[in-house]
Amino acid sequence: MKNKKEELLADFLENNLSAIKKQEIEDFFAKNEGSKTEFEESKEIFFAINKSIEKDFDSSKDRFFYDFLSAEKEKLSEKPPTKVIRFYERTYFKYAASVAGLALAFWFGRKTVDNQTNTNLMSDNGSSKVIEKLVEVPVVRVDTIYVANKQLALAKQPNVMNEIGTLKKEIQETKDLLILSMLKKESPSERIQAVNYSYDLQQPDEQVLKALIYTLDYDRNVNVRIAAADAIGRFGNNTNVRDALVKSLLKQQEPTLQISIIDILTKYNERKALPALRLLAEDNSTSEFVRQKAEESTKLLSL
Amino acid sequence: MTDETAMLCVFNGELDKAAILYERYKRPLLNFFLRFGVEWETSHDLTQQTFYRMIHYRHSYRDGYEFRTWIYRIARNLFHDHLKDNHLKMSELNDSHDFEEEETFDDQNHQLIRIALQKLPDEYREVLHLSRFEDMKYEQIAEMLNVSVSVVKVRVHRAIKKLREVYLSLDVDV
Repeated sequence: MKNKKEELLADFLENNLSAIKKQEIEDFFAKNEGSKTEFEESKEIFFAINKSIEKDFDSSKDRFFYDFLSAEKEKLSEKPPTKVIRFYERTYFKYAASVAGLALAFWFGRKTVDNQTNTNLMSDNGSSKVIEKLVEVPVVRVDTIYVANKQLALAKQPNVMNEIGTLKKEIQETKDLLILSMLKKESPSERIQAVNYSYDLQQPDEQVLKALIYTLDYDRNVNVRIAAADAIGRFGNNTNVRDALVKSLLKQQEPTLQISIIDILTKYNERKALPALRLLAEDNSTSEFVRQKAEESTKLLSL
Repeated sequence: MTDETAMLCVFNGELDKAAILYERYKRPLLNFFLRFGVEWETSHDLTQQTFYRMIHYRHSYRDGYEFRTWIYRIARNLFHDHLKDNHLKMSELNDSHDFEEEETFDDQNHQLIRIALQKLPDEYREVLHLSRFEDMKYEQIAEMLNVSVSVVKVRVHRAIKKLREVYLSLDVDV
């Protein structure tokens, strides 16, 4: 009852009431002069709260967002599109296409190979051999020419190749250093930026990997830890990374992070994660969603 | 392009559209944090993080959500994480930024109201803040705080009652 009156008064304050409800409040105030005075005073104070002058966003900090956006766009373009099995990708179609390809190659061979070769081969009574040879010849020739041309082109420019190699190495080292220094920054945005730079690295330095894992385990900002988990997930084929993730799984309290790590370990079929997953699944303090996820992954990894 | 359309594009992988939302909301969000008394640099950081989360959790956005409420909800969660991570209470943050701005033109009365507002319990201060500073309707506040509209109305009523009480006590002290 009291709550209902309070709700009405809140609506009365914002002039949100119907005429009937408004009258109800007016009647109440007519009988309770003290309440009316108190309400009027409160209302006056409420409407006296005014906005301060709005400050402008420091545009020099925009680059953090735009760098982050570029990194995210790159990540997105790296990801394979959602797998939709199309008609031509279906298994039966692949078999049919192979048979048709073979037949086409056979027909093409019959048309192109000179009569002499054809006659000799046929005289061996090896029809399967004929198909094999006729199919293989054009393919091997095309590949050989392509590879030979490429090697020739590269061999002509050994200095250029060396220079490119050196430059690539230098860029990688600079990025490694940049990441390591930015991960120590006070601002979480800059630390997230550092984590995102790691997406440019094909195979990061061991020190960078350690720094990313340390960030995942100990950064005081949950967004930075989430970004680190995503970045580390790309290097799940590295045993050291997977071992670190197994250890990290039990340290994490944040469900989002627990889920990210479980996903990575399951993706890379890391059976060493099983004890940690069982512990999580049995722990009552684990969130329900994480427990379910841990149980599912335990089943998958136990197969 | 409405905020909602832009966000749906982001949801569908057109990340460029996030820049539109960033440009529209970076200022209001910065001021949202500043008004709660968060420092200048940290307010910028929290604003940036709000957009990181917007992109990171874009798949949790649903068609029909009001974008403004959704993004403020992210910002509010970040603000609470910030308080938790730094072992702070809302009442411990000083709204010094606003006072500095207003000293030249605002009267003592307004300053007293601000002080009174700061002394309110967190849940009261929050609803008044959203209602008065962010111009949010009760329904929007309810969605943002994930509570019923009735709860918001009761909270607003109790908050203004308490605000009056604290204000009058300050007035007497002065």
